[in-house]
Amino acid sequence: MDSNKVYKIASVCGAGYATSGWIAARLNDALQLKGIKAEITEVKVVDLALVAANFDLIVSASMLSDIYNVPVVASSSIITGIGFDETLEIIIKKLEEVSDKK
Amino acid sequence: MSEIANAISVFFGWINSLGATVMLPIALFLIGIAFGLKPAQSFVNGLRVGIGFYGLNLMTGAIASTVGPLANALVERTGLALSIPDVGVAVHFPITFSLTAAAFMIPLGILVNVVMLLLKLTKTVDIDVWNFWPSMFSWACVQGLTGSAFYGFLAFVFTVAISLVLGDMQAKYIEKYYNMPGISFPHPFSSFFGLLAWPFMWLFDRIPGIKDWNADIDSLQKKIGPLGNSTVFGLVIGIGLSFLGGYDVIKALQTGVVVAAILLLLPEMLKVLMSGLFPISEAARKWLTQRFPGREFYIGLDCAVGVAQPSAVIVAVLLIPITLVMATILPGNKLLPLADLAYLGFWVAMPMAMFKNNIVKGVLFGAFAIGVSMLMATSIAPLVTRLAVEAGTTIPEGVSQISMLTVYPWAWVTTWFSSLFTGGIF
Repeated sequence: MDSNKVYKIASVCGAGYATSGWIAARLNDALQLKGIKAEITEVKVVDLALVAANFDLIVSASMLSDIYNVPVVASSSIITGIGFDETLEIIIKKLEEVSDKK
Repeated sequence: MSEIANAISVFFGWINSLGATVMLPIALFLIGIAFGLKPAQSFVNGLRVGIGFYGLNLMTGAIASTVGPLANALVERTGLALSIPDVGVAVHFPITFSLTAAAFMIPLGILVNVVMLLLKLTKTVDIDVWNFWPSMFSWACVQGLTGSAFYGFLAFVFTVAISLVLGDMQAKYIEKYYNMPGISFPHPFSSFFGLLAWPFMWLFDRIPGIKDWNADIDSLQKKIGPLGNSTVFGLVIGIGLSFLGGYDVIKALQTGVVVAAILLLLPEMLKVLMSGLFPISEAARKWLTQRFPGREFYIGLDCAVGVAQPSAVIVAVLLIPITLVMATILPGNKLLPLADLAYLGFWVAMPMAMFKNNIVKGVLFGAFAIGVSMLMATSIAPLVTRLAVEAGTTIPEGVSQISMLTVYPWAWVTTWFSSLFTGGIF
């Protein structure tokens, strides 16, 4: 994994400020602990289609269809705490794949 | 004694005169400390909430100067009765947070939740403290109507409680059709429209054409995705309404950009405000999940999670033109939908699970539900306008009332109920 890369992550929910922001804050803390730099932006789901290409990864409060050519991970476990570690592992794996590709 | 009473009333008068931009940071600083945050962190968080609130007020001024004249021009030129602009959170927020009690909605909401858990009246542990904001709006409206903080408090407790109970009842659909076991949406918006969707669930399954008619979600999402972008449709709707109102090309283009800006910038201001609250949410979440472990209880999230379902996204976009057309033909409606057009997914956040993600059912129900909201928004507009003015909101020039499409339905219900005792006038 590229330790200098700053990964661009979209955190998606319906409104784009409450749930997604909370997920972004928690995910950012967890990634920092693992030494991964990320820039996480909250996005409201209706706005995603036009901006999806700007991101390395999409984490969505609910499982979105994988149609944006950007990997999507369901993120509600990040706030419920149930399955948090598994979700974090998947996110890190997807980020590794991104950095391998580029 | 009277001197003490006097001092107390002077003190509270002084607190109120501070205004929300000062009162909120102070109160949230203290609440942060009570939740065990470090003073420095709690101070910065409180300040962010004040800054976000100030940003929201700035936006209201900008909205007023553009949307007011636009609504006026539309009414004059077309004869449509759409005289009440929908200014969305720009009116929700000041009304809710001008109330001193709003600073304490998080501990109060948690208290109601915990009492209900202990009495086994609910299985939901509501970890998303933002679910209490719409309940606070019930408080603000009922207190505004009756003048009684106690009745406002009762409306708040009722809204929190009924959302928890309905959230429990609706959780099985979330597990089955959103594939999220153990999650419920104890949110006042989704709980109401989930309740409203129950008879439709039954009805739709008895109409042969609708029962099995569905669309391919992935391909639809690809096709209409870009149209759903809130800045794009803000621009298009702003220009379209300008032409209807008889503006020239230059003024129409300018208005289009302003409407797009409103749809993008209002949530940006909220982001700042919300970010100051995450540490308190975090502390509340930890405290609650330690005492009420997740595998035995439903974990309550904001229904914004449901809005991000692919089926709900598509329905939200399809509902935009339907909402605009309905606004013009629905008898009794005076609301000009604008700022909340980016959030139409909230009407189906819960119902989409109940309709098994069927797009056609979602659109049919969504149109009905938004019609209900328009009439609620129209009828509560006088109260909302008065409270907004009292909270220091700028009312658009030449407009006598403002309201919002996302008027929280339980707030309307509790206000309507209260109005039965105050003479039936909002």
